[in-house]
Amino acid sequence: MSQEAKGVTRWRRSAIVGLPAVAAVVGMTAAMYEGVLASSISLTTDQMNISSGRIAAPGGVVALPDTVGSGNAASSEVGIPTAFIEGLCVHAKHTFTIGTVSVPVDLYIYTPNDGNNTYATVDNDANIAKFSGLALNTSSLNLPSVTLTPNTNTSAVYLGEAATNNAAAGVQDGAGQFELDATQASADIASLNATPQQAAITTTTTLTNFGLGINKPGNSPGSTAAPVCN
Amino acid sequence: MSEPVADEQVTGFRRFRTSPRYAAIWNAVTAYLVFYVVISPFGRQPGVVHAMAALGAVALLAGGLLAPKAALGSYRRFRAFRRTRPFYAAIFIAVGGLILFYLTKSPPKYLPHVGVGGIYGMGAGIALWLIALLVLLLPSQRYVGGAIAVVLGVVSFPLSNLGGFFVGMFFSVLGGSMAFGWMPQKPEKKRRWFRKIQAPAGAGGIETGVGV
Repeated sequence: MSQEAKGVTRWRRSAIVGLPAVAAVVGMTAAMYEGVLASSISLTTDQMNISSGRIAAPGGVVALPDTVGSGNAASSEVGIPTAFIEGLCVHAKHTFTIGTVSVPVDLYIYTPNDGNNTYATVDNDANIAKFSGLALNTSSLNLPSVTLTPNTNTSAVYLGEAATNNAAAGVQDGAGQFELDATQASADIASLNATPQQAAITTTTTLTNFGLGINKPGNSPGSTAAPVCN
Repeated sequence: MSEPVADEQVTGFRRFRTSPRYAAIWNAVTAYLVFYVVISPFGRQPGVVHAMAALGAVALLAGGLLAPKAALGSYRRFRAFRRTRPFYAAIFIAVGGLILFYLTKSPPKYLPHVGVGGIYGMGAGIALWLIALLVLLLPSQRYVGGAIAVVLGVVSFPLSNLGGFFVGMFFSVLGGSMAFGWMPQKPEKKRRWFRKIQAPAGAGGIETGVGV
């Protein structure tokens, strides 16, 4: 039998780059758990549910339904420049297809409720996820309670069609753009329930005391109630 | 490295592995798997996919048994290709890139909301695929390619869905490390920590293989 060239993997050499990489990941995980390092979530899935107990959006909220009627909007987009979200749960169901074999994976990213009803302390709350640049494209959107507060007497809060050009025009029938403009103000939303139409969420997050798992989360350490999770 | 063994001394499965029949069976099994992955996105019925893949594999098996030299030649060519480059490292890097890309496959109009962080998953996925190709086609560049794959995998942790929910990052780091540590041949001298150990006389040469 003739000898032919046969390569080998020298694992000790591999460790030269592998071990520092593992150490870096462990360090970043610790920093992320402490809320020092932000993570970036950008998902597209077949099925995703997003829910939260409470949102504080100091940068305001922009809602852009594609169709606005007397009933529910057929399609909505929500943009939140900066948000502090309490009791957040993102449930994404991914289906990995290898050949004709489909492997469904349920993923949960959640932050526990803290039971604190004081919005003034929201910025300092360790259990609240801090988001920057949150955008949703939803087929249904439920914002039961929205409170808008202008920063100054001159920074108005607009609600209506093309709010940037038309103040307080109200909800208009038919297809078009409906905008809630509070970019110069602050907004508090009691709860959010959205079913993303294209299941897209792109955001940069600081998840303090967060959980990540493939099982539906129950009560979390330090929380007074179970995470809101569909 | 062990001494070369004469053909007549090889028996059992080791001898079977050098036979045309083994090559034909190996080619058929490989073809079945490749057909299965390639056909399945187009054929929605699993039975049809299995049937088409099986048909191709049986045709290849029959061809291999009828033309054993051709089967053995193609098998040996692929084996030589696989052994002269960090093949499995490239596979792992490509799998890591695929997962990072797949998870961030987002409508482009949402990407500007998060800037670099939003497009990192897609960019890293494409870059890892290019690195896998680089390592596969130019094995001499495995150090650079492997190190870049490891860095892309680690950086994806804060920038892209927790590194493709750890899985994409794991494969990228594993593949990059394997590519970095791959050598075309076993080294002549072994080094156990800081102590050199002389290899027995007649052992294989140092790193002089293909692509170096």
